[in-house]
Amino acid sequence: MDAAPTPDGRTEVPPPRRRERLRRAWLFFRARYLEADPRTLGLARIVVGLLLCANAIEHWRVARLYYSNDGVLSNHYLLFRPSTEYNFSLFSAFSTPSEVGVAFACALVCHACFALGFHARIFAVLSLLSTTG
Amino acid sequence: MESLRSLASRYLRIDPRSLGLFRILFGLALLGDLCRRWKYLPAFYSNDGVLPNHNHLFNLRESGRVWSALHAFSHRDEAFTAFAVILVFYLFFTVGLFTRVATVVAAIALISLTGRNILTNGVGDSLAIAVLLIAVFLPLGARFSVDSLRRSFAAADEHDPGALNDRATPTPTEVRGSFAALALVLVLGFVPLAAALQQTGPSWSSGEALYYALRSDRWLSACGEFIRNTAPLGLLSVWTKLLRSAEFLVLPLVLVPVARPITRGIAMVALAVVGLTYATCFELGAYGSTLAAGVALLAPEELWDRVSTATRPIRLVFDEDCGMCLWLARLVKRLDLRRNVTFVGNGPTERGEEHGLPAEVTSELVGRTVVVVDAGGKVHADAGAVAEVCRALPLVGWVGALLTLPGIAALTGSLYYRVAERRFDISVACGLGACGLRRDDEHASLPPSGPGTIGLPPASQLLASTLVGLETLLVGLLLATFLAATDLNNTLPFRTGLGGKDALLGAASYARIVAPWGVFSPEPPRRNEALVTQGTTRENAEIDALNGEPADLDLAIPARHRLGPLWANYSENLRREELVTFRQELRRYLMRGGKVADDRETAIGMTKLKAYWVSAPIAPPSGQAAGEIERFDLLDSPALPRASQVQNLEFGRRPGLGPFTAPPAR
Repeated sequence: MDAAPTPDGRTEVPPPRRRERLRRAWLFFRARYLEADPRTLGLARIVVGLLLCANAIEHWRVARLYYSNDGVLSNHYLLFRPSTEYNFSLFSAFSTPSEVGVAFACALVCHACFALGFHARIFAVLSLLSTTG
Repeated sequence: MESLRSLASRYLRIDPRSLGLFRILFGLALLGDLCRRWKYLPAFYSNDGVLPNHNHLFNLRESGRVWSALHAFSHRDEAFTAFAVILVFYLFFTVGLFTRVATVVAAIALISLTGRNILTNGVGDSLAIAVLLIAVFLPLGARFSVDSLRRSFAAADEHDPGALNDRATPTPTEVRGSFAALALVLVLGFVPLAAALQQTGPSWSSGEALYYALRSDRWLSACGEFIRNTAPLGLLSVWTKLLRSAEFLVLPLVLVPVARPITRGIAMVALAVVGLTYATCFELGAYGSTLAAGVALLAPEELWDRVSTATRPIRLVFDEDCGMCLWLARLVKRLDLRRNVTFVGNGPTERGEEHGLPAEVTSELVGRTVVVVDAGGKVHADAGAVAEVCRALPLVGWVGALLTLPGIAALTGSLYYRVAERRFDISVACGLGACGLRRDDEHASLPPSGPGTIGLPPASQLLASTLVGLETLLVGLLLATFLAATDLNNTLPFRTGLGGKDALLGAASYARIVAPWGVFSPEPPRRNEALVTQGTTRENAEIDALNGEPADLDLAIPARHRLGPLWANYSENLRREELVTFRQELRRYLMRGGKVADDRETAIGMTKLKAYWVSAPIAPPSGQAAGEIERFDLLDSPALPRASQVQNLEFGRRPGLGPFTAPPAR
């Protein structure tokens, strides 16, 4: 932006145009609300990943009761008479306690990889799938 | 010691070009198989079909030892989404993008597609799964893949025509020996042999087997019907004998350690005969196409070296200052397997002194367009040059011929000029640089892959050795699983004794390697059989719920009974007494309108329904059909004649699927 000198020698800054003001506002908004420090994101990923791991282990402990056909609700009954509409879970495909154990092991690997930042994008999606399941 | 190593290398190593070609062909076979399944998605993969997921899981509970990710998908749209995801990974596998991951996911997908309804399992599923699981351990993406292209671009950084013409540039194609290579070839050779050993019926020795097989409508393809209607008996007889001989020959020929170019060549022809016969004439799922794809694996290095010699040499003059042109030249170098192309820069020194190009190749011409000079000295420019380059490359020669057709040539010429005028802008936009300037991070994407362990630190060597040992162990377990299932479901003259190992049978059941290798054994059926339904709609129309036409209870119209391998396997297994529990859902499906309702995407409702297993005698080659047409009520009478090929589908701890207990009331 050009500054024009005044007769008394001072430099006068012309008022910014509306477009320039909008651009500055947008930059301000973006810097405050749409950006995050990568170190903060990394820390958040580690914390969320560890929480997911802990959550998966907690569920695994009671997997026989709540996730296998030896427990309180078999997968065929859940699929036959779902409690709600639009209910989808990959865990429905696993019947026996051993199969459910494999599923939880896979979920735990996904969470761990996410926490470590190994192929973070892919394992974030897989962690989401297993957690919603 | 050296000779022993050489002998091991013959069996434990497959040329990476063979692996690459196999991956493409097998990927196409998998895509074809998926398309066939997609056609019948509502019937076999949704809860609107013949077997809802909850019913299947209920029937298989506790000891079924069957798993499928598709059990989690209930509605038609959910199954559609799952199929779309599978399609993406099959495409990745075929083009070789993220090849190893795509192979693993493709294997899980195929196991899921097969395990969703065990009644649809056929010989093609078992073979394709076995092959895919072993292929996980092989470098299928080492050649002819997007992965190999990316690696090659990262490994060799050509800046000028001289570097482009240096074909000694190391490309990451060295593949170490692996037990998986031997296992894969053994499986592909063993399966036809197992079929031949079980094809002991008189029609196989008399040469009438194909005659009868081509008259079993439910297994027949459209091509098979054409052959049945046109081929003389003599041809079918010769073809039958050739087919069985080929089935016997593949494995022994593959194992011969000497005269490999000859023995491998004959083995390739034999496997091609077997694979193409079953792929074109019959609907056996991916059986024929997997065997046909396996032909590529048998191609010896000598054959690849022979086809790699120059057949159509050309000189390509390109603008070396244009980033996009240089990138395209690097791509052409990598696709030019026959080394037909010699690269020439558009500077005056190179053109005149080094390559002695014709005088008509002026500075003005090469500054404006790409130029190709063929072996006869003829000069091609613009789109014509692009067509010549395509013709010099393998597999895309037809594109070159297409580009020279009137109309298309004019269109391509116009398009070429538009791109050529903006080539520097495009180069900059794509980050390829212009006027010799290059992006700094261009070659920082992928490290070159080097499977060898020479030069690695000791810890890495130890890790590599451990991984090789683990891989060998897993492949060995896979092979043992394959043999255990083979022992149980085949009547071969020898046994491995692995059929009694419960753990191996469990693994085979989960992997859906059911191994019913006895195709048309002991001989093709002498009666043509099919599932025919006869229902009355609410509008009082009498139709067959499987095709919407009036019920053909005499099997007089073959095309109506060609419903593909899923329906053929399903109806074949549905006859089995121990699987009577699966018929209830078939009744529900048919009462909603069956396949007709699937096609119209709305239930049509039936007021009356009968489903018959119709069996009509096939007339022998010389004479009339003996016997009457028989119809068995499939839904109301459990006592039916046993299926010709009774297989154990689940390898459960208890025989069959156990007594049926009604699912919870709706």
